Amino acid sequence: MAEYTLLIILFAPFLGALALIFVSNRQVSLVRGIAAGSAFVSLAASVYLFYAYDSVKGGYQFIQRIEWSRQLGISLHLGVDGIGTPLVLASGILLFAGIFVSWHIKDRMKEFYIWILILAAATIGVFMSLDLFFLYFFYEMSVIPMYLLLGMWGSHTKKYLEMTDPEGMKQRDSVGFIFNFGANSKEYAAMKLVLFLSAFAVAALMGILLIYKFSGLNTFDILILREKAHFSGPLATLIWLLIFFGFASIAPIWPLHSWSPVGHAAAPAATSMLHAGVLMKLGHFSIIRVAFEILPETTRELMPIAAVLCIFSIIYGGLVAYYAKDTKYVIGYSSSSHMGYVFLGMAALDYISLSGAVIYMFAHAMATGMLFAMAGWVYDQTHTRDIPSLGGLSNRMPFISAAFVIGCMASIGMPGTVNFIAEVMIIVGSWNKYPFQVVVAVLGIVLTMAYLFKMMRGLFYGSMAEKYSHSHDAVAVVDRMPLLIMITVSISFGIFPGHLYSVVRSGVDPLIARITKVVPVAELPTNIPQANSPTMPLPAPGEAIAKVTSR
Amino acid sequence: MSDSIDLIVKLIPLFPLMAVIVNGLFGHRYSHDLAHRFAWGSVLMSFLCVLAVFTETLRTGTAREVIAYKWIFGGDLTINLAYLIDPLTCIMLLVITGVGFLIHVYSVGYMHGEAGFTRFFVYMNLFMVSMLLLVMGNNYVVLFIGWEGVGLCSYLLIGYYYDKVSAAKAATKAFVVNRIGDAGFLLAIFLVFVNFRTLDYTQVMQNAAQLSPEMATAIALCLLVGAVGKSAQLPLYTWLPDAMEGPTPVSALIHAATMVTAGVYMIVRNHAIFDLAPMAMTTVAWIGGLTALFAATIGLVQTDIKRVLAYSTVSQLGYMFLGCGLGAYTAAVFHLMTHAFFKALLFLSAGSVIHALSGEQDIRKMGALKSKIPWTHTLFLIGTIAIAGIPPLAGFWSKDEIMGHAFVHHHYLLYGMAAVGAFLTSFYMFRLTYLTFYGTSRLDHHTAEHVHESPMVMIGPLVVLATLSVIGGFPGVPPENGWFHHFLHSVAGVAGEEHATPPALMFGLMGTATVIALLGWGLAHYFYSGPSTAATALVDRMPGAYTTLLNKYYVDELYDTLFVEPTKQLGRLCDWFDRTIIDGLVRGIDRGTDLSAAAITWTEKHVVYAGLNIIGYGNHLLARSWRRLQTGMVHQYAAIIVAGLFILVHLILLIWTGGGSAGYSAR
Repeated sequence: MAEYTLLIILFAPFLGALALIFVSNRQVSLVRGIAAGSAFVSLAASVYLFYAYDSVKGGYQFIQRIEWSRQLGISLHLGVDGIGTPLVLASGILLFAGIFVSWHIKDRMKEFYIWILILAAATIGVFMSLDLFFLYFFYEMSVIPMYLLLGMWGSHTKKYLEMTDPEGMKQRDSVGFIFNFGANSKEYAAMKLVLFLSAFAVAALMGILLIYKFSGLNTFDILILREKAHFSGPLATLIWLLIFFGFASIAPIWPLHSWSPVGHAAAPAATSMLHAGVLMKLGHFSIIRVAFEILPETTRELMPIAAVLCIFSIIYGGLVAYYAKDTKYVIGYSSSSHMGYVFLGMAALDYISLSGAVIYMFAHAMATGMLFAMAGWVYDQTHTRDIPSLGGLSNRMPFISAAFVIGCMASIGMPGTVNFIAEVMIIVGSWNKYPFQVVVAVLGIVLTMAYLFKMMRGLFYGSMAEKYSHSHDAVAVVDRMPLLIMITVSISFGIFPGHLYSVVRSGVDPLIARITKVVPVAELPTNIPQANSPTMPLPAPGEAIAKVTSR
Repeated sequence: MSDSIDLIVKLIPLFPLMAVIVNGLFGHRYSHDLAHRFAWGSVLMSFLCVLAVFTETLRTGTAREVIAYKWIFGGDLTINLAYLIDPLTCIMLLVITGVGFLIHVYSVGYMHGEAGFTRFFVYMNLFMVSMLLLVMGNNYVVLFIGWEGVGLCSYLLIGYYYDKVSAAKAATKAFVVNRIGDAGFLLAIFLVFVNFRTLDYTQVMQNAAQLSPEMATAIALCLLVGAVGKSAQLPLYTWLPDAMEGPTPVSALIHAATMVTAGVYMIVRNHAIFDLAPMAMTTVAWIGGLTALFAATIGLVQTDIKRVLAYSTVSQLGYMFLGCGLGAYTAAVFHLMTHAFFKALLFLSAGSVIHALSGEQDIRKMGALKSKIPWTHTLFLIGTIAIAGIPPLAGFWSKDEIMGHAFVHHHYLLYGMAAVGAFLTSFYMFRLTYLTFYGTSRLDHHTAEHVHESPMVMIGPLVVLATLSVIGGFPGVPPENGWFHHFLHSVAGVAGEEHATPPALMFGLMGTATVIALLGWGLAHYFYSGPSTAATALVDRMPGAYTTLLNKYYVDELYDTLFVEPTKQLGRLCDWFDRTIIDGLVRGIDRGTDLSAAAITWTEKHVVYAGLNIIGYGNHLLARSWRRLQTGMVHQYAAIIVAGLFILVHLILLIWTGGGSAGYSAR
């Protein structure tokens, strides 16, 4: 049974979606039950996976391999390492929470749940694919549901609604309607998202096909490719750049980020949660899985690109978020700003910083999931996301406002949440290589705090407009549960990060060792000089933790 | 014995934590009476534990390290939740739990009948937990956890009256300004980590001497940024006066007695690093001296009873920084302790006045309250005498020691600033007393009818604090050689501090300090005790100076123009860049595709009309499916995309893997 864990996690949502096709939209509780049930199975299995993963042994575990096309060297090859495991868990949690966040959806509930389940399953599929073909397949598959979820269940921005007066309606049939008039509409957001991501996915696909073609191994299997494939020279650079920018567009790295906040704003709450929580991490994960694993030398040479761009992501995203007046824009830009921290952690190519980056992905999934869920709740209650017109909701929504404070705290990396650990690890680990970036990142934390609390103040403090006096707090169990789950996870891993840390380290250590050709101190049998021994001079940065091996 | 003490140490922060959990989760189910008993009861239990730990430390005289649990552990990164109990921690713990307990009891009376009574006590207890972690931690991470925790609680409690816009603004401001300091503090922690590869105090302090002077200066300055933010010193002091929007017990506990002194504690805790960095020490001393004087001048003209006290807190914290900067760490901690007593007393008495006047805080609308609320009057007067530095009350001994230190070590300019600050302190505090309790009554009728003395539950803690304000200075007598100095010597002692000040000089300085304080009192008496016009005459002669002071040197406005607005504008610029340039590019590509598609269609229709009729028809179909997309008929379309992708990839692969011969058919 245990060896099928990955298949259960992956196919439970797919089967749920399949089952939902045969259910009528009128059987509301059955629809909900199937969706929640399949999400729960997936979640339970991923919790099991997380705790059953043997971090002492490390490496890829729970491997499943189903031959698909021997001639082409394609197989459904599944397996997780210490990097994939926490992300699978995060996807499971956010899917389960997302089902409950969209509990009260009125319009075509069945279809909504089908697409959400497919979206989450595809995401999970990427996290466990050990085959480039299926990695790409699942990656592309996760983009398509976004189009439908945004286009059908999304919401327009305030500007769009202002433009939809009778006069504006006349332009509906004019040429280029979508591109001129609908710049603030959900359709535009959906279109932009899909075009952007598909275009860059093609770049990634080209990179993958180049790997396939020029490795000469006639296989898409990552495990074989990373052992036997060698690329060098301009080809390696080209492949790396295609892979990096192809996948970084979904991460999203500056300046390829502009699809993301618009997409967030238009998306319904559960979609935003999954989108910001796990979909964006597909970018980082795929870069780690493909570029780091198969092209370690090139990664070492070219990763400074990310170190430069991440600064823009952090500061630029933060500044726009500070200026934005739409709740989801604020959270959306804050997400793209925070993804800069992950890139920083990845760019430093250090044991601690990359572990920090992976934990940050997990932590950010929880924090941003909470914030989007609550922004969605506020939108459902007030039908606006315009911060200046809101205010004083604390009175009507004590639970939501308390949870919002916790969400903000998690987002800024307050000690006690898992985000703090991740942030500290990224910053500590990157210090030796990129001190300037670290200083900027620390200032970025101040900026994060400024815009999140500005939003907090705008939504919940002050006096409330009369028209919102009918709004409700989240009282029912189904409404509170998703938030409580994410809060609990965030805080409990913040207080007891031990297992998460060792799982992640078991995935990161061999990877970094391959890339930098040094091994972490924990694996060295003999004692190396400690920094604090009084007779030793202080070691140069990096020397204390790593020692060059003769490889 | 040792084990049981370890257990007691672990219990200290656990009691308030349990109260937070119980009251936070179930507080709405039972009465306010039970909630507040849990709240102050837990703090009392902590206080008793602290007493036990204190006695033990007194007996053994050694530091004790307790590991509560291992938190992050890995080959190269180990962080434990560990406590360090040494004399410095003991003093801080006594102040925090002792004064904290009294303020909790007072709050029961003060917050009576407020909506969100339980919420208030949950936040207060959470604050206690964080503050205890802050001072008990054995490494920088635990310190930082507490540091952030108290900031959070401060935020929550300043914004306690959440429907007041000013309170919400003040809360956000406090948190953001604190976060600027925290950024510096975080950097200091990273610097410590990369230099020492550990974050434990004991190891860092033992090996501090290995640091290069430049690195020591860098770490010390980063730490200083953190301390300046938390302890409201120049230039990051602006949040503290605004923080008075919170309920008065909060101002007393967080913004006077405990949290704001965390910066001082942190500097004393890291004094091994500061000692290596003379430049940083000078900076600390000057920041302290300037803040002491600067804040005192603003305090001269403020009219809100709590704001005057807030500026006086900023100023008194300046004295503590001055002491730290001069290397007089013991004196700084001593002043921290006495200040906690008399400033808590002053705030709570002010709270009692506000309570009596149904919420009035403007001293222009008070006066002649002495006979109406005699208890409060006496207690406030004791606090005023103590802060003014009139012997033998607590404030005199500690402030005199810091000033004496400046003089003896030839920092005459700093001494002069501190002395002027002391004069101003005495003046504005007695001004406050006279305007509140003496002279003619300026109350409006409605308020005057309801003036009442506060209940025993509020007066009781005040009496204890007043007693402490009177006798609290004696542990530090004689100066530089008292019990307090011997107790703290192992932690805060600095080599070479032993040389004794000549008695004549010492008494001379004490005499000068007393005269300065009495002069301030005298001037305030002359201006404000009776119906004198001297004060208004002075204002009329110097209107510019008066308005500048009243507007707090326009620092808030300055910061707005310098930092807040540019950030907004920069954000706007980035937003514009996003919408216009990046979006423009995307849309340009979109439209380019659109146009070229149209052009091709046109060519097809008019140039190769007949031959390519089929393609034209295909295009038409495509257009239809696009329209369908808008109407929601999308299932098929999605399926087509997926299927198309599959076919495409298959085709490409087929071609690439050997032009068909090596493909499916061959095998």
